[in-house]
Amino acid sequence: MSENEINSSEGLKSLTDIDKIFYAPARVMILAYLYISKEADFVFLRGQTGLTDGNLSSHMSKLEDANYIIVKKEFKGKKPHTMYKLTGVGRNAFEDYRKKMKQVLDLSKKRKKNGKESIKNIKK
Amino acid sequence: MEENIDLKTVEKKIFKTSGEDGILDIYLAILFIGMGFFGVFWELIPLPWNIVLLYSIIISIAFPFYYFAKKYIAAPRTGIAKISVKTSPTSKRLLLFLLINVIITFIIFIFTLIRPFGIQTDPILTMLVIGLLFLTLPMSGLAYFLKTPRLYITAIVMGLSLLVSELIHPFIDSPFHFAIAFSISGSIILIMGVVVLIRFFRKYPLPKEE
Repeated sequence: MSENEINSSEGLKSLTDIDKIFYAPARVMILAYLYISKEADFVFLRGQTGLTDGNLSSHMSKLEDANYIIVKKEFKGKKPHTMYKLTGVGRNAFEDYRKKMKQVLDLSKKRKKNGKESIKNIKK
Repeated sequence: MEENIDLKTVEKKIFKTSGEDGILDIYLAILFIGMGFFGVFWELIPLPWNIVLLYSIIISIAFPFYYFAKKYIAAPRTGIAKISVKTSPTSKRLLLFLLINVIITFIIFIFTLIRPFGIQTDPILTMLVIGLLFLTLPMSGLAYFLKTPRLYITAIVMGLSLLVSELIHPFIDSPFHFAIAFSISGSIILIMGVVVLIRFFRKYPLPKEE
């Protein structure tokens, strides 16, 4: 097996290892906001992500089911107010996802660079 | 929908949103105008009542304004995101910067009190340097870390107020020169804050509830 093939299979393995929760870009974005902030509310996440109420609620439910976030529902006067916080599991999962994506992207960059060099050599 | 998950960008967006309401500007303006009048009361009212008065201005006007404005004006429109030093690298750097600033300010303050080596300086130059070091530098740091370029103008206006007070001193008796210079600077910052707040109202109308 050549070095390129080994790297490629490792890269693919990193991709297949990624938790299905991260398949939706919206959920990745939500987790990124919760990763940076200690906690955030529904209105904030809706404004930052640009998702509709229904979409955001659905993604939040999935993240809650995966035990990635803690949902704190309360009433401010007569209005409902929901706060979200990343759990330790969620934090670790997000860090793991970033690490794997970085591996894949680094590999892709490396392959692109190697490819360009090969083309240059052929041209010479 | 944006799909950029660069954490620096995310952090920048969070800070930028919190600076879009102009509440910090108005808060700083109230503090600044209060400080100008504090200079007047310092000489007119005996200790400790002049200090009590300053803290009364800060505690009864500036702090409640900031707290309630953030709670009832900004939060319903942009939502709440609590930033922590543990989760946000920028907050960590900001805290460190402010800490270093406090230490430097304290050292300079001690130097101006004891005047080592009998140094005599030009009052106009002294006011300019003090303004830049005590006000412009920390405020510029705040502008940098909060990703709010508008605060650089606030920093310069604040820093120059001491110089202005010294320049108008020959025409206006002490301690009113302080009050006038600080009120001018405070008013400029206040106007900027109010304009930003009006823009904020337009950009973020009250959203429908959850």
